[in-house]
Amino acid sequence: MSGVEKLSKVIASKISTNLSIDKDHEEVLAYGAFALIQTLMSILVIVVFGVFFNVLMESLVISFSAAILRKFSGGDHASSPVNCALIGMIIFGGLSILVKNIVMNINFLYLVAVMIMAFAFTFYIMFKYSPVGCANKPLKNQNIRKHLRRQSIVFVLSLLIINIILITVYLKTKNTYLLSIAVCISTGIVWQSITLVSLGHLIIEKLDKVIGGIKIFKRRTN
Amino acid sequence: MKKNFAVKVMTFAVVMLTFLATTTTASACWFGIYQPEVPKLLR
Repeated sequence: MSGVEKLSKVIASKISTNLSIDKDHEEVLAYGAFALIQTLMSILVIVVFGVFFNVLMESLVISFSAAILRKFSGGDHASSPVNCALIGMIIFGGLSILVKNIVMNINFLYLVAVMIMAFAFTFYIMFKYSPVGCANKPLKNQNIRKHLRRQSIVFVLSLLIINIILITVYLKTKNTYLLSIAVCISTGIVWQSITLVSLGHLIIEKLDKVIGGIKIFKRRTN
Repeated sequence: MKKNFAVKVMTFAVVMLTFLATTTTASACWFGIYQPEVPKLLR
């Protein structure tokens, strides 16, 4: 059991003892506490990385567009909450540096073509694979699966509309900040789509192993 | 007085955490890329 899981169980147990709450509801409280701590931890790590490498806006937009789409489409998982936060930091941080320093220097028309391809790819993956469950949360109910797939597609559609608005306003104002947000949104959804297929599974699995290996090595050397 | 305040804070925490747990169960996945086991009551 990870430290975050232990902490959320301690919080739930303290509240349950004081308010005389039964064991089943205590589990729910621990699950809620875990959601809160895990989310805050993931955001904090990304913010620290963003501030340090001067890519705060890019990393937040990429991570939020990917994370919200992930809530509807599911995807591959890390073996622990800390690995999850670190993988998030590596992926979203790396992508935001890439967007800021390389992608934003590409010709505008090419950039628009790449964004169109990004949305086409995401729609295809959402139609074909979404939602993807996991061992701790298998998605077997067909009604729930249909509902989640519909939500994924509606969310991607909303992002497409936002991107069209951002690009239209960019063409009128020439504010590159708006174009950068549009590129980050496209990057976030493409990464989330990749996590639904075997390539994403491979990347997360490798990073999970490397981070796990570093943690074991540190523990042995201490 | 102090105990009364603590009970109020904990009751608020119960409402918030239950809400968070329920909304996260309704989605396909967690915010990040780690998914703990879903509690029996929410399955």
